Amino acid sequence: MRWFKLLLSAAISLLLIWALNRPWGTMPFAIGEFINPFTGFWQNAEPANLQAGGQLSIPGLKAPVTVVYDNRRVPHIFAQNNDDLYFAQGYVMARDRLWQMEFQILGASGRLTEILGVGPDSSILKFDRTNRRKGLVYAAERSYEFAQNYPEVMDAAEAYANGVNAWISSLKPADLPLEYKILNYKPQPWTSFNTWILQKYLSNMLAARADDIRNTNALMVWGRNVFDILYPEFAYAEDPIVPADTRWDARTANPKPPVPAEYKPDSILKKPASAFLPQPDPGLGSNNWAVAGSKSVTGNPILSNDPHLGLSLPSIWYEMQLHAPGVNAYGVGFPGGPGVVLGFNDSVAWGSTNAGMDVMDYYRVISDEKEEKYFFDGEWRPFTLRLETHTIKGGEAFVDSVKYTHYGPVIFDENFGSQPLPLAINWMAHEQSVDMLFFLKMNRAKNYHDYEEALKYWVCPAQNFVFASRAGDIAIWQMGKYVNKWPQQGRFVMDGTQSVYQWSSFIPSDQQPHSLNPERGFVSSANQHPTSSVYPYYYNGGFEDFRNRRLNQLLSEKEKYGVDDMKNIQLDNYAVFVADILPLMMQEVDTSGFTQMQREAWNLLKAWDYNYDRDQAAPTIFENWWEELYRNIWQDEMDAVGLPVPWPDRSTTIGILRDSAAFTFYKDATDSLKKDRKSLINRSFDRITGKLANDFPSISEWIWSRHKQTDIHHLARVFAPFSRLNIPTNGSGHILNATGNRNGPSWRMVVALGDKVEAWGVYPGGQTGNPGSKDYDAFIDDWANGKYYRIWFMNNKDQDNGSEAARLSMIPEVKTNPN
Amino acid sequence: MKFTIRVICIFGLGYLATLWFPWWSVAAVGFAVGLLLSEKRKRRRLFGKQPTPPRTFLAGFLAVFLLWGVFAFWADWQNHSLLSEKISRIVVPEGNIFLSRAWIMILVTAIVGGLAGGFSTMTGNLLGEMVRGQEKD
Repeated sequence: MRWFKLLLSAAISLLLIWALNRPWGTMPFAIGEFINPFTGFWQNAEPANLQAGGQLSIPGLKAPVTVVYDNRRVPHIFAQNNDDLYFAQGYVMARDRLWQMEFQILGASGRLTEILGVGPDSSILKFDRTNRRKGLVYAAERSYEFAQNYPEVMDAAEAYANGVNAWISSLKPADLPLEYKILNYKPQPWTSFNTWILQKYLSNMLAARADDIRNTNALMVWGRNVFDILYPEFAYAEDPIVPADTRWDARTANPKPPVPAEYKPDSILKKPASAFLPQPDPGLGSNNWAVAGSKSVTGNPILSNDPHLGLSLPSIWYEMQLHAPGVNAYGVGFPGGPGVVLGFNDSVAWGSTNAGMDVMDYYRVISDEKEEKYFFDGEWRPFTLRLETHTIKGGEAFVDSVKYTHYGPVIFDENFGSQPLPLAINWMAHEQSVDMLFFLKMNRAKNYHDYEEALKYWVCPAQNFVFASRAGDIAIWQMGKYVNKWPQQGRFVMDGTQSVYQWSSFIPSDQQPHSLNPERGFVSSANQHPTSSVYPYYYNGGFEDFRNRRLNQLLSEKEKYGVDDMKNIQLDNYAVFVADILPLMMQEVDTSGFTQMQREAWNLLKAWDYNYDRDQAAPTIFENWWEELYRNIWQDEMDAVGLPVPWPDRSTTIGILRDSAAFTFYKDATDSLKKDRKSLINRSFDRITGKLANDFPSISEWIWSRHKQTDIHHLARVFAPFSRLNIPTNGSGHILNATGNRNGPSWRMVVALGDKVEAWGVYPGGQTGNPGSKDYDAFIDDWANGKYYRIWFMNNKDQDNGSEAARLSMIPEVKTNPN
Repeated sequence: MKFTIRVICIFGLGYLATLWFPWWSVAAVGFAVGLLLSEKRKRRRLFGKQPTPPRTFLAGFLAVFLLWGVFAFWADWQNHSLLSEKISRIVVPEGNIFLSRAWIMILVTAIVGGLAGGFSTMTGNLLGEMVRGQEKD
């Protein structure tokens, strides 16, 4: 009996400990480990009155470094040399954002299965395979090799990595960021190579736009005439980045290469392809501009920038000041890389928007039976094989062998995307480059000349870099390496067997779209066409057609602009898009048979000033109506194709609606009530008012912010409580205040140059990535309410304006000599 | 008296152990204390004190319940329940307002620790009794 009791008790004890020490079901963590207050999640419950200061002795530093944290937890780093500066930057970024830094790198290098497994329906493995097959790691390796020639960059990345590793090695299990504890894995040592992966992550986010496959499908299905109507290269109204009246000297321009003699883009694929990569969200866009001293109330240039990116927690940006001999820069940077990316120093300010250029082209490859060689200019060339090993949590490794041509990797073939004819990509992100040098040089730039010098290093992703200097210059350059293309080159899948289809030469960098001190007194960009059609080179891409017109209009209205004007422009909610189409839509509606509720909705639209204010119902009514109308025009035809084809964009649709009361695509074979513009518009209005009334009985429930739902998700979507959902915001993607459902202004910045630089900024997140800290989402409400923080730009480490919250002294660890 | 000593020993040694060792070291401490503070098994009395196993279980449970509960409470109090609130919403299925509370996380923490402490202390004690009991027989 006693034996029995003992054995029973021992068995229960062991079973309990065993059960608490292993993951169960979908929970990746062990309960005992996760829940105990000494090493588990309780350790991440950051005390509300955290003091980040103190004194630390750290191996690897050359001289003492002071980090002043202000009351928004922004570190102001004061170092005595560049190595220490980037070391300390790596250290403080890792301290606040380690998990995010590593997670982004794992994502970009296609290694998420290592920590998450293959995911539902193998979705995570597919994501990883896509990134590997796009050659992101291959691209990073090539650039990393190239960067060895640029010690300035290599040293910064090495010092940064050393700083990150100094932080990692100081961590005990209890100190690990929460996500490691939940997902139950450990950080790996950080390498300088990761910074190159980060650069390619940006290219993948911003320069992977390539609709070649879908365009080719559309061309094959509809023929050239219809294709040109559905996908025109210029919209009905354009206000390009470089003022339209700028003259380009066609004589100094390199001639366009000739169009290949037998160019038939509709016969390169035997049949339309079913494989294609998801295209970047159209909400990814940005605004930037600078007004000259002559147009500013301060008499000095004022620069503004608000990059619109996918919103996430932790935020893509980290705010900081970097001070060392020869540099004093402030702004935001990417967790994972050295330097300030968007910001200012005592002499200049800079910002960027995405160029939207198509710099990824597809080539159809003909391979031999054994799939070892491909045909090119009359001979067989061997593929280079790259074996991509996917380590999978809780499973066996998966090996994907990716064939490389001289263009780049074969992304789709029978093994991936069920594509019978292999498709290879040639992508500017694969070019060797040291783009990061642009940031390091801008951090130290004194004038326009330094800016021009820094631009030379920027290859991909192509950006519109706006610039302003204390000396009074304002400028904008669209920078990135561009192919000198023959007309339409790269719009459709090309023939990979002939050299005439290859990229042959590049546009000389001094002839890229740019504008320096234009007469109108401002430079601006909002992801629109960089130039008018008189630009001597051919380019294609995805360009925004609405925000730019509003921006340039607002910047032309007044004699002089102050800082508040700049903020008001960033927060402007007026929709050019609505002004372009709603009057026509309303004019077509037959109001005679209106219900009470339709009448109410109608009156709201009539009284509307086209501002997307969060508490208005009119934007909700319009957006629903437009969506319904847009779907009613295109959906039946697009669905009938049964293959990926691009949907015509909004401005094209508006252009067609305005020009044509009747159009083949208006008709619907299954719905006799839809036959022309008038019937479509009426029918869609009836439908959406019915649907809205059904979903929300009272019009007061139709307010825009509730309909739009701005959600900022945690980077790993699985943790709902770490996200901030349903944030009430104004604006929409096609509006200057481009706050949508999941995208929006990821950093709003206004910099007034002068003897004393003054700046304001805010981003939708918080400095720390710890969901257990009150600072995790500290800026979101102010951001949503259109507030800005006055930036504390320090001159020296002992300056005090009452904003200092903590001071961290980092001292080189001296190895004591025994004896 | 023995009861209080057990509780204090497990609480103190358990705290020290978790500074260096994984979470389950608290169970090892419970086992060791149960073993070392055991005595020869007495003949069961009809009246008076309860039999030992439940009491030693209670001592181990209480010690670790208090140890984990107090430290979890302290962390939570300093954190204004910000994190425990979020974790409770990950762990507990959506919508249950009663369970989505910070104090539930503290209670769950304390109970999980308490169970590990209770069973291991009881096991240690039973083993100790057996060893000591056999010495005399």
